[in-house]
Amino acid sequence: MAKIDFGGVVEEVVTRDEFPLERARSVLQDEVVAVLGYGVQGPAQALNMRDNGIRVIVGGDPQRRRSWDKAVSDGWVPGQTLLPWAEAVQRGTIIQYLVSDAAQMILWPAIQPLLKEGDALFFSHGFGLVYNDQTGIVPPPFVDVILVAPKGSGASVRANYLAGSGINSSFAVQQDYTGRALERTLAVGIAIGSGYLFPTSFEREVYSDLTGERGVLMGALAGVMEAQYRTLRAHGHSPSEAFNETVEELTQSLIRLVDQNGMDWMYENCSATARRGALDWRHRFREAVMPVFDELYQSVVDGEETRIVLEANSAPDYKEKLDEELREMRESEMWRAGAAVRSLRPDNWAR
Amino acid sequence: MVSSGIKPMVKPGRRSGDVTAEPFISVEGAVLRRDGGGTGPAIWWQILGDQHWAVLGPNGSGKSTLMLKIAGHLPAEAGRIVYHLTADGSASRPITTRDQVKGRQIAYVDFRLQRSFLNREAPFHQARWNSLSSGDAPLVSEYLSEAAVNCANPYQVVDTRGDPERFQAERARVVALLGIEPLLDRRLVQISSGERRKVVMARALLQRPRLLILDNPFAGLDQGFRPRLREIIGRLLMDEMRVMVVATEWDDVPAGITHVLLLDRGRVVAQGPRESVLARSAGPASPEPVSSEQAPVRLGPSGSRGEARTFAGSALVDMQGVNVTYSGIRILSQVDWTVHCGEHWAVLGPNGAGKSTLLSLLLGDNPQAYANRVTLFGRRRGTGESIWEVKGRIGWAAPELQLLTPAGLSCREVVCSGFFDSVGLFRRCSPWQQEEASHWLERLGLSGLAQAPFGALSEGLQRLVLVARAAVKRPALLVLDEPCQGLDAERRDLVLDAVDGIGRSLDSSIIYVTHDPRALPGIITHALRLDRGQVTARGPVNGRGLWEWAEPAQRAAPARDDGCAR
Repeated sequence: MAKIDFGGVVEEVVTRDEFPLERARSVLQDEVVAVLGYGVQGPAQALNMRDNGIRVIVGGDPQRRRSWDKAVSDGWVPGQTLLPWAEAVQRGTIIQYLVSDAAQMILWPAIQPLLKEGDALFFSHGFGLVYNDQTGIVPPPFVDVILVAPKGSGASVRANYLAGSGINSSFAVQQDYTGRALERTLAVGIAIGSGYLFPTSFEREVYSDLTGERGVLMGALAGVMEAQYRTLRAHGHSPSEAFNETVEELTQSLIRLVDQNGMDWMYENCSATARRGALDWRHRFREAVMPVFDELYQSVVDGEETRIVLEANSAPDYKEKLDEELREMRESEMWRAGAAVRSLRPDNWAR
Repeated sequence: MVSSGIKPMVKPGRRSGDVTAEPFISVEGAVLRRDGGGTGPAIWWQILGDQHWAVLGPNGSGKSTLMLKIAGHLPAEAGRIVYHLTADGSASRPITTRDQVKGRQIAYVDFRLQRSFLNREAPFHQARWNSLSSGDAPLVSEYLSEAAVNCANPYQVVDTRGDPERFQAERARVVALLGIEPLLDRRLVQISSGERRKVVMARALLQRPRLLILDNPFAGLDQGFRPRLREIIGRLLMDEMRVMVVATEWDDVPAGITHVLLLDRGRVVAQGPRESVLARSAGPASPEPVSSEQAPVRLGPSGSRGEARTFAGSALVDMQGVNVTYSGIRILSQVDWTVHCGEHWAVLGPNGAGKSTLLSLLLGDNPQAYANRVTLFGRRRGTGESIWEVKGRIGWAAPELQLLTPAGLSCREVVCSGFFDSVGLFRRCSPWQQEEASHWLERLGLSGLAQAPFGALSEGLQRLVLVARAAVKRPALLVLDEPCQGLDAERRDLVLDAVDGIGRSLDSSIIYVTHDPRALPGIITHALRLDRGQVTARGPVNGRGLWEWAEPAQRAAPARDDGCAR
C-alpha cells in the first residue's frame, strides 16, 4: 500500500499500479461473480468486470421486464449469463448484493439459505450489514463479507472506466472466512474499474456516507440555500436576484474554483470585500451548525436514520410520497426561479 | 471585385430589401488566428443580398473560425462584423453586436457543434451501445420539436405563441426532404454520425434563419444522399434564405454558388465571382504546400514491425451470424465476416447501414459482442479476455472520438493516448513513446503542432492527429472510420499514403470505412458492403474497380481522379 499524507495524517491507499488488473484476474480466475440487481451500480460494475475478462453473471427477476431487458441489451444472455436471482446465487462464488437498501432487506431471507461455504458476500454500501438489527442481514460464518464502494454514480463508474481513467473507491473486509477475503476485495475493486482504493470499515463507510448526504452534500446544501433565499426575498429582493446570489453564482463559478484548487483559491479569486466578509462569517456559520451536525451523526449511529429510510422506502405508497416531496421542491418559487435562470444561461441560448 | 484590399463600405442604414444588391453582411477588418500561433491580416469582405457565397480553403485556413465569428459564436477580435440582414424591408439599423444576431437569424451547421449535446448525453463514445446512458436521452423528434428548434425559452412570458400547425407542416416537409422519417422515434445518441448530420441540418432548416451556413455539408454523407443534398442546396439558393457553403474543394461547391472567398492560413487569397476566383486558383485550393516529412514508416526501436507478424496467416476477426438489436430495432442481422491477417478491408454502405456498430463489436466497445459469436485475434469474446487486450492490438480513429477528445490536451499527448487506448491521457509516457508520437505527427504534416492544444486545431487537422493516434502503437489491426472526412485533397493524400505505408511496412491489416470514392487507400484488397444491417456484398476486389463493385447503385456518380484511382 502507498502511504499518502492527507493534511498531516498518513493514510494508506492501494493503486492499480500496486494491484494491477493482471493480478486481479489471477485472483479471480476460478471465481464467478454474480451481480444481483441491474439498477445503477449493478450494470456499471458488471459491465466493467466483464470487459476486464472476469467471469460475471447477472441475477435478476425475469418478471421485471424493464431491468431484465436492459440487461439483455447489454449483451447478457438469458439462461447463460442472465439468470433468476436464486440460480445466480447458486452459480456464483462472489455474490455482489447491489439491489437497493430496502430490497436487500426484503430479498435476504431468499438469498441467505443459498450461500455456500467459501462464497464472498459483496456490498457497495455498509447499510444492510451494519444495521442488521433492522435489516436482518446476518451473513453465515462460512462466507467472506467484503465491501467496495465506488465514490461516484454508476454512470461515472462506467464512463471513467471506458475512457481509460478510473474512479476512487473505499474497501473493507468485515469477515474473512477463507483467508482470501482481502485479495478478493482488492481484486474486485480493481476489476470494477477503481483507479485507487482506500481502506474503511463497513461502519465508517455507512456513517460517513449517511452523514455526508444528509449534511453538506444534499440536506444542508438545500437547507442553507433556502434560508438565504428566504432572507433575501423577505427584504424585497427579486426571485432572480435572490437565486443568482444564492445558487447560480456558486454552481456556475465559485464551486469550480474550489474544485480546481481548494477553498482558499476561491477566496483569493474573489473581491477583497467578498473575501473579508466570508473569512469572518465562515466561523459564525460553523459554530451555528456544529450542534446540528453532532445531532445528525448521533442519529446515524443510533440507527434512527436507517429506521426512517427502511420504513419510508418499504411503504406501499413510497413512490407517490417521494414524488410529492420532490414536486413540492421543484414547484417552490426558489427552484422555479432557478429553472428560469438556467434557461437564460448563454450556453442554453439558440445556436 | 477580386481583391483583398480595403473596399469602400456601403453606407449602412438604408432600407435593406431581400434579394437585392444591398449589403447583407460586412466583415470589416476581422482577423483569424492561425493554427500554431499568430494572426492573419485583417479581412475585409462584403456579402451583398443577391450573392451566394462559398468559403473555400485547405484545412486550417480559418474557414470555420470566420464562420463562427459571423454566426456570433466567436468575437470578431479586431474590426467588426456588421449585419444588415433584416428581411422585412423595414428601415432597420444594422446590427453590430453578435448577441443580437446569434441563433436567431444565422444558423451554423458544423460537425463539431454536436460536441455540445454529445458531451451532455453521451459522455463516452460507447454510450450508443450501453443501456446505462440511453434511458432518458432525447429522441430525434424531441430535438426537432417546435420549442427545441426555436430554442424557445419556456419561461419567457409572451403574448402570442407560434403557429403549431404551420410548424408541423414545415417539419413534415423538411423531414421528407432529408429522408429522416425513420429516425424520429430513435434516440439522438443512438443514430449513426451520418444520420445525425442530417438531423442537425433539418433542425437548422426549421429555424428558418436569414443565413444558413453549411460547414462541409457533404462530409460523412453517403453517395446516395450527396446528389440529393446538392439538389436541396440548389433549391434553398432560390429561396429567400441565404446559404453559405464552406468546403475544402471546388468539387464540393454546389452549382448555384455565385461567389467564392478563398482562404489560406488565415488570410484571403482571393474573393469575388466564382469563375474569376476559379481562374486565379489553379486546381485544388491549397497554394501552400503541406510541410510533411514524407518519411517512410519507421520500424520500431528494435526493427520490430509491431505485433502483426504474430498473427500471420490467421483470422484477426471472425464473426458468425452476428445480430444486434436495440429497443426492437435490428441494427445488424446475420452478419458473417472474417478478416485474415494481411487483408485490407473497405467497409461500405449508406448512412445508418450499421457500419459503426459492426466496428464496435470488434473494438471491444459493444457489450452485445458477448451475446454473439465474435472471435478476435483467435480468441472468442467473453472467454476471459479484457477489452484492453483487444484494444491494445487495434488502432482506431473515428469522428466520435474527435468530439470527445479533451480540447486542452496537446496534440502529442493525444497521439500518446493511443498507447493506452484512453480518451484523454492518464499515464506518463516514456521518452520513446513521445518520440514515436512526434514521428507520426511529422509524417502527417503536423510537426509544428505537437505542443498546440488539440481544441485549437481545425476540424481537418484534428482528424489527422487522431490518425496518428491510431497508428502510433503499430497495431496488428488498424480501424479507420472515415479518417478523411472533411480533409482537403492534399491532406487526404497524406492520410491515404500513411495508410498504405502502414499496411505495407508494418504488416498491419486495415479496416477502413468511407463514403467518399476519393478517399479510398490503394492498399484495399477486400470489401464488405452493408445495407440496413445486412451484408449485401463481401469479397476480394481490385483497387480500381472497388467503388463500382461495392456500390453498384452509385455507378453513375462521377468518380474523382485524385484519390480513388490510386
